[in-house]
Amino acid sequence: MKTLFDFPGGVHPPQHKQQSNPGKLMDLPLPQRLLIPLSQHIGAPAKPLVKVGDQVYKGQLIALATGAISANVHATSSGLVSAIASFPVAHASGLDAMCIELETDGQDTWHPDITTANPGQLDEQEIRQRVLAAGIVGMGGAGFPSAAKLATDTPIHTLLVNGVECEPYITADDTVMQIYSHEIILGTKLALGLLKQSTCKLVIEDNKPQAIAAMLQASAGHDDIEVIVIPTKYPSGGEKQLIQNVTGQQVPRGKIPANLGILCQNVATMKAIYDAVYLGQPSIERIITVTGDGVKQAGNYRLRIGTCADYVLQQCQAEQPNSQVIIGGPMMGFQLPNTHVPLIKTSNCLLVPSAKALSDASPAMACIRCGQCEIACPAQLLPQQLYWLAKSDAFDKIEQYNLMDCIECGACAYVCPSQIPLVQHYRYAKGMLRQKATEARQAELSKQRFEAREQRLLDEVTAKEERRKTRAAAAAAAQAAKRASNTEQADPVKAAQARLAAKQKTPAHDTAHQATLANNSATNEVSHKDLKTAAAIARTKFKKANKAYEDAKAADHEDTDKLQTMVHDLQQRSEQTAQALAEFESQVQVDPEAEKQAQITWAKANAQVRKLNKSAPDSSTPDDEKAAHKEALQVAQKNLEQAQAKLDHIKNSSKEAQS
Amino acid sequence: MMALFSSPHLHGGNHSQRLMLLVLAAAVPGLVAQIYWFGFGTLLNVIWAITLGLALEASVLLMRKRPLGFFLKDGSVIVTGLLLALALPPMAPWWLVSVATLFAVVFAKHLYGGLGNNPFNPAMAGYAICLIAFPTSMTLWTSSGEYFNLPDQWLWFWTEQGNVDAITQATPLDAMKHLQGNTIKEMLAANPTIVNYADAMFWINLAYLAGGLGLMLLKVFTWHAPVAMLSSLSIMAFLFGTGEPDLYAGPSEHLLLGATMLGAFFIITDPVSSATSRSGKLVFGVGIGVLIYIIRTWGAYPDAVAFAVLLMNLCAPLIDQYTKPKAYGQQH
Amino acid sequence: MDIIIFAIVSLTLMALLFGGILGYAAKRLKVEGDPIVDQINALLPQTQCGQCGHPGCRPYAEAIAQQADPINLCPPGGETTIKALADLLDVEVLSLDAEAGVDSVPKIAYIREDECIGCTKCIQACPVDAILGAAKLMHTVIVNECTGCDLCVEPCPVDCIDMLPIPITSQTWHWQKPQQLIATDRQLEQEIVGDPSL
Repeated sequence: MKTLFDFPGGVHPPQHKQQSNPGKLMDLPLPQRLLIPLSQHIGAPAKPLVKVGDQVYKGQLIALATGAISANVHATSSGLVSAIASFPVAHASGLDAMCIELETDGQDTWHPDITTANPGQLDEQEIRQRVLAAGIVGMGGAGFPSAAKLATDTPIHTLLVNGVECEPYITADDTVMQIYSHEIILGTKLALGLLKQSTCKLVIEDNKPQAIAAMLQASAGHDDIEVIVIPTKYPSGGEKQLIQNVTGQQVPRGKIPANLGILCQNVATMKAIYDAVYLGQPSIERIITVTGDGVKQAGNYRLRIGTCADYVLQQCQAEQPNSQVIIGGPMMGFQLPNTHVPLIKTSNCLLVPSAKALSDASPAMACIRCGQCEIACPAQLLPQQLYWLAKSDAFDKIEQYNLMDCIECGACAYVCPSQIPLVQHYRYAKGMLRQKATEARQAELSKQRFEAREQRLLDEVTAKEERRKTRAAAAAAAQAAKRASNTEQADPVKAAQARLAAKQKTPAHDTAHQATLANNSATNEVSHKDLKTAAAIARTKFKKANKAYEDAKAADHEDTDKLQTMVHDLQQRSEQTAQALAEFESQVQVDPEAEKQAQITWAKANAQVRKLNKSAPDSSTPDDEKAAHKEALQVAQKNLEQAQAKLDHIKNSSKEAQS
Repeated sequence: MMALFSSPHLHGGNHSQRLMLLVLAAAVPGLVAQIYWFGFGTLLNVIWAITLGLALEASVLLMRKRPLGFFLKDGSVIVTGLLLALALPPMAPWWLVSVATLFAVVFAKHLYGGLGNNPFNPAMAGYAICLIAFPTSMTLWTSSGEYFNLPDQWLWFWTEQGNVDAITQATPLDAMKHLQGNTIKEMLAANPTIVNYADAMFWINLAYLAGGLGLMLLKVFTWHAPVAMLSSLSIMAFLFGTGEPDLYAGPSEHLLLGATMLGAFFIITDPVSSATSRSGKLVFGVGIGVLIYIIRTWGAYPDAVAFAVLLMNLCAPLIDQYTKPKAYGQQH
Repeated sequence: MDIIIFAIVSLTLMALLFGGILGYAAKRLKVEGDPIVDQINALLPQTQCGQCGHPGCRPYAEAIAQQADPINLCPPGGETTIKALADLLDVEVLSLDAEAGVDSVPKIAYIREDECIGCTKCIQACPVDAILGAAKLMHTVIVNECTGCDLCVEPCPVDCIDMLPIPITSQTWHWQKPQQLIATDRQLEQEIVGDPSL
């Protein structure tokens, strides 16, 4: 026997396990109706592949996993798809979720594609594929898709198979271990094969002697599978507690067991892997404990996924409808707001206790900070402080007290002498924290979008302003060029060039379209004018009609409808003409000649500037000469700038025209 | 719709009332010992403090418009009344007990929001206010074995009639502080009654110790605070007492005289006003032990449990702040 | 006489010295931007709804920072925001200004797409660009980006925009706070003590 470690806290609630006869497996007649939720796992819901009215076979894929963390959903018996809609599901909120409803035909015919296989002849990829296709999820309660878990990149040295089942009343895993011990071992061997260099520790609480015996017998001869027996203490079956119990290590905050090289899987999941790989059968049934003083025929039942809780309760002769029904164990399960809900891959227990067996929900008394909860807490938190903070909505502070490390095991509320529903307080605070985080993210996003929009609007305004300025500058440049040509008598060639430049600048620069229009044919000119007029008329008509309509509306006239249609028509007309005009204008080509000219002008101006720069006066030159030179340089530079602007403008407008 | 409750749906069956009852039961040996050595005064105190406490609690609850039966049932006021009465001197008259109870229940408890919200230990707050306001009445201790019979005590309790001087005297702790140039041995030799008195206190403290250990075994509270307090007090007494055994009382005197055991097991273990985490309780206990020694040895008052507890109550939130345990997965 | 001169001289020197230090510190430790505005803005819900009378949350934050506006003009933020602002600015908690609007459940806009005429008016009104569409084409609201600010409802010429409360799903659902027996009325006691079935 290996040395075991312990984990802090924990409680010892009465077990009530014999009530459900562990080790004896029973079947119920196939229900006429199966309700199969699309989301029975952590992660994205599966996407339906069938339509209402489709005939499906048992084991047929009816909804496909979407994304990496998701699981396939299969028809759990043969029959007709009668609905794909929202139904209440097994959730504490009582909210609806998408389900596929099957009317079973009683034949229970397997899908023809389902075939057995010899894993010895399958390669690793095929085995993975079979596990993935079977839609197996963690059957201990969390429902994490198993294929995704087994596909970890981190090297795993220990596979912990969890047969602890620490919750009172539940004996489903106990029964699986007693009846399917060999299948569990074979499934475990498959998982070990996928994980490579890994050994398995199969952990069982010491209150299940038959299961321990069965597993010891089945694992005999397998060196890489070790059965470990741990003392009974709730919540030793919690993943983190189990790891600490067996290895003495704690999973660091924010990490997962894989970071320690450990992977946890439930025993029932191992059996499901066996079914998937050896038999080719997907995850369509599970063993569930139906128990409690309110049930006459308590026991472990093999049930199709999608069987409704009320059907099971009726078959097991439960007291109805006064008793409360709990899905899962008494410590972490949730009360069903409505028993007309399907049981899913993760439902391990249906508990109908007598009113006395459960806490009598007597009103909470004041917290006296007695610290019993702190002693019971397996997560080493301060439940009494968390309670005070949750009660006063001090969400910032409660985070510092590590609320998010709470595993909601309920040990604190179990021992609380003041009967305070501590876990509900924590769940409330956790929900609020998550909601606040979402809101903060949302607010940040809104802020960014708002700021981006503001910036965009501002940019539009500045761009408009910029264009206006450019036009004004061009006009000024023409003036300046004229003046420059007057002053620079000394160089007649330059003056002529400047004159030429100024001439070309004015039409090409002022409004590019007019310039280009001028270079085009007369017909163009005419039609452009016509279009412009038509657009303006349409616009005015629309404006007038709109005004009449507004007035009529303001005066509460009755005939505004007619006016409105008219306004609408006119608006459309106006828009159409405006559009036609815009289209026409954009179609008109930029004259290549003008561009060439502009380029020449620019090159000349550039040369002038460079020349003047070269002949910069030194200290010996007289002052008046210096001043003249300076002035000439300034004029030349201005010319260059203008030529540059013009060239850019022409280039841009030609680009626009082409696009 | 059916009312839905969050898990867990099981409860371990522990109730506040049970805890309160256990505390009451565990205090009985101490009460009996106190009556045996110092007369029926304590019994009258206890009955009066509890009766008045319940009445006061009821009227405050009425004023605060809180459900009466529900809150009276928690039994906290009975515990407060009992502990207060045990701490008061046996010769306390009715008005003194009344003032202390009034202050404890109304001011120290309900003005802060009732059970669970009081920053100070109510019993010690009531005790301290009387010690400051009525120092003479608060030090009226009978000589052990020489006390009034019940009718005389009854008369004294209501009217303060009777020859008190003949039967009262300084407590051993007081005497050890005011040595007036003598050594402890000389003082004890000169005052045989003090030796008797010390014997009585020894037995009473043992009775409280027994009750307290019982509570600890029943897991009403953890060992942290009492053990921390008793050890720090012993260490202080040892450090200062070994050097000058003639002038300073040693560890055994400190542990077994005065209200040490009552304080260690019944007062500082009041969870509401103490530090809350286990490590916090260690700090809390050490602080009280050290303060008790300091006040007893160098302060103006003969005993110090009340002041030490109140001072550390003040520090409890601070201690809580700095003694947060590391949660699972954070030991890295 | 000497002593007076001495006093004057020493005080002057000290004044100069400390003035210098203060001046240097003001330069050296100058705080960039106006962080109080950022802090206030961070507490606002960023719905950009304008119900406070400012075009967006940041302008309102600036107004609060300049003490031009009270802290109780933000209906989407509600009591929580007012409390947080009061905490930050160390002022008294005010109740929400009824004129600015009422605190209500969070909502999002929903365009009845059949009725939309594609006028783009809501697109222009949306402060966070959460409406998608083009002229004469149906518009729709990007649900994840809608802040529920209400600003698109009014400009719509055909009134095809509804403000719908955000539905609770099993992803967003969480447990409510347990009922407390601190409730002041004694009826509660009767209900709880009197009815053993509870």
